[in-house]
Amino acid sequence: MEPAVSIVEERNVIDDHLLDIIGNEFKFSHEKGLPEWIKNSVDAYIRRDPPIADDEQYVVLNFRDGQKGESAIFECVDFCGMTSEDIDKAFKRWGDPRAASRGQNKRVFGGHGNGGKFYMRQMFERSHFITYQNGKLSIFGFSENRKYGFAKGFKDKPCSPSEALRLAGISGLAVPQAVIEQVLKGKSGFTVVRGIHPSKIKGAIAFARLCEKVRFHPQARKIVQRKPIRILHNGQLVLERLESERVEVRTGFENLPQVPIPTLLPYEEDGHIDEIEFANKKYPAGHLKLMVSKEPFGRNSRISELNCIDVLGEIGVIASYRIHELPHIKQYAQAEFIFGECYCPILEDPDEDCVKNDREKLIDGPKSRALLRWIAEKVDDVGRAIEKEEAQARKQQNLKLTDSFNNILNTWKNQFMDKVLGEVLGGLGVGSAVGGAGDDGTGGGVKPKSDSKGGSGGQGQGKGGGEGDQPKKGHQHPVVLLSSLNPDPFGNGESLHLSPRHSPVYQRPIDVEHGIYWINTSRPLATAILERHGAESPRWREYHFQRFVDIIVMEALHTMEKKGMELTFDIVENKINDVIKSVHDNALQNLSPFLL
Amino acid sequence: MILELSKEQKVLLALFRLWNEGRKKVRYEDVVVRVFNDYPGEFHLKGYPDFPDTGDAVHKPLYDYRKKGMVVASNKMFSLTAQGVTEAERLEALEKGKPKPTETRHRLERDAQIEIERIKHLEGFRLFLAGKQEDIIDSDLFEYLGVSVRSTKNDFIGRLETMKSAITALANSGLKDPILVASRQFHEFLLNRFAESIASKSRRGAKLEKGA
Repeated sequence: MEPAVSIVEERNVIDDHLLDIIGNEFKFSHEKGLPEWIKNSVDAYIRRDPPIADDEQYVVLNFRDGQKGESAIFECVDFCGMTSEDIDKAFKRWGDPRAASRGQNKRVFGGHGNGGKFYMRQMFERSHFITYQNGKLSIFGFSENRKYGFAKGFKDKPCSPSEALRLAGISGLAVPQAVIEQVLKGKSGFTVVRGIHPSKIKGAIAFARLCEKVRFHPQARKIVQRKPIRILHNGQLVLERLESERVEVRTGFENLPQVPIPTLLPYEEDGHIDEIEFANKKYPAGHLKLMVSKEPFGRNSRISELNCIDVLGEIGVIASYRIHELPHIKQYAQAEFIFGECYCPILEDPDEDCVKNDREKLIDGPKSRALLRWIAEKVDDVGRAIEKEEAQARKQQNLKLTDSFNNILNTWKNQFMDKVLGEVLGGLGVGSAVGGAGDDGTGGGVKPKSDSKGGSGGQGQGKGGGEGDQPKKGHQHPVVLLSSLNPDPFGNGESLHLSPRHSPVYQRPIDVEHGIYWINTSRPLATAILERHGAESPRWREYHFQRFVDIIVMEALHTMEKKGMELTFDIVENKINDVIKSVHDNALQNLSPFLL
Repeated sequence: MILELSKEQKVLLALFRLWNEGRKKVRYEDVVVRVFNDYPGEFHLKGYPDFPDTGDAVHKPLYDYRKKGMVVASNKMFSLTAQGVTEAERLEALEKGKPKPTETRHRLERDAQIEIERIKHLEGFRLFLAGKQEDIIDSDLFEYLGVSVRSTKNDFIGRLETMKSAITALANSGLKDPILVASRQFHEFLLNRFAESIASKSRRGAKLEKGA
């Protein structure tokens, strides 16, 4: 029989080596560490009561070059300050997710309470911060042995504000005087985080490049947008405010709607499908907001880092994925334009915490995979919309190119069509199908009454016609227009957009009356040729020319009908063959430069 | 009992008799002569009983039947549609005193059957059955009516009447075949969707009718 066992719980004993293990996992770089300091500063402002306006939450980054006998130094300054109690209860604690909020019910950027500390510990030979609040100054930091503690004699050391500023070396800091005044009046404190002898940096600091990286870093981007972050180099102001990169949004995609994350998302693995919860009573449903840049982000430039989806928790970014890191993306080319953010608070549920220490990626698992797959689907949806728009734009470009050839074909047709029809069909006794010139026709023909609009004797043509914005009845020749390009003469300046189901050559009743034909550029074959070969390819020109042949044949048929010719198959076949032969012969003579 | 046909009906019968002789297109003058030969007392020139009336007595009925979709006319050449043939056969039976046709419920006249069969093969009808109403375009209306955008006003109206007549016959037949029911719905859908085009086409091109 098993003895009854009851464990008497004790505090964990943890060797400092564990900090090395965790710290190494951060794989720190300075552009990754500095945002951690910035976030800590912003959290200090957020905790202040009364609240401080965003524009007054000054964070100063000061980079001091290394010189002979002096190490390079990074500093991050805010005007809040801490007491030794804050340090003991919050700063000194490793891995406490409540540390950043200090027990307040405020949303802060700090997550696991590790980033800033680990950056100090891992990436500098020595580091400390000097903090001042309520007339007391403390210095706390890491020694060369990576062990932390207060500096001797600097734990809650009573100190005047001016003396504190002098000790911290920020008396003449390039910030608005009002900010310093607040400190001098005792209404605010300050903290100067100082890292001495930064890893891999000796002598001059490439601060501009570093700041450029910081402003693009997922953990800093949102803060940079809203808070005034000043850049100093050797104490001199070099940048009044670090500006976030503004991405110009693509026209037509300005206001893509937020997509709510479904309460349940499917997750399939090994043929088994689970449904994973993405909202409950404690965590509301999230949403995805996608945006489309005017220009592609590319792959190698700094701006390409914005080609990503930031995953947001309660506040701030808890992970960030470059678009090409999303699983199963299909619209790769279009995805290079897409960026956005996915607000998903349930990922921070402590029972199923998906947030990594360094907040770069989510902890891999079914929940994060299900979310990423869903995001990828939505990115593909937008990608398809971009692809469609691009195809439209290409088509418009192609159609513009084809317009000039259309004009050439119209002119060519006008020059010979009546002659050909007259020769082949034996005289246009009753006028062409599109009408002669109205009342000026001289009548005649094989029938006592012309059934077309006006008429002309023999091969003669009616006179008259006229000019104007709209074609008038009695127009001499049919006019061939291109759908989705040429303005509709009977519309409001817009072109006529036809369905792929409309015939390759199309007419409405009103077009018939005015002798207008539309070449349907939406026909699948037309679209395919334009897409694959372009408007200046011989294939497209051949297609375009054949539609003119269709129109001339139709005109011939209607003319035959109006002439009262008996339309037996044999007659129709012979006459159509004659018309086509004449058209081809004439095209060879006059259109060779364009067709061959 | 032998029923006396109207003058209009007699003109249609004259055309039918010529058509029955194998002439699919009949000249106007031939109709004039035939109707005069068959019914000389009613179709002679006023004051000249030995000469046929070539005017409105023959002309107008032919064009009225065209508007009903029973006659096709082009360049004063006339032919009968399936509906026209059915009507002419009915008139001939009446004239000969044959009994009325049996109850048409649960069966369709031949002309209506032809139209319904045609509808079944239309691409627009297939889209309609698939619930893709948004893909149906104006060309589907013309195809449904069996006309082109160039058809004259009266041909257009005639075909519209023919289809209305076929659909009415279908409704009266009481047939419940789902495809037949869908044909009726398709007819209503097209007439509603393209009401404006139909009205426009029915008004348009009056001048083109002259001499047609």
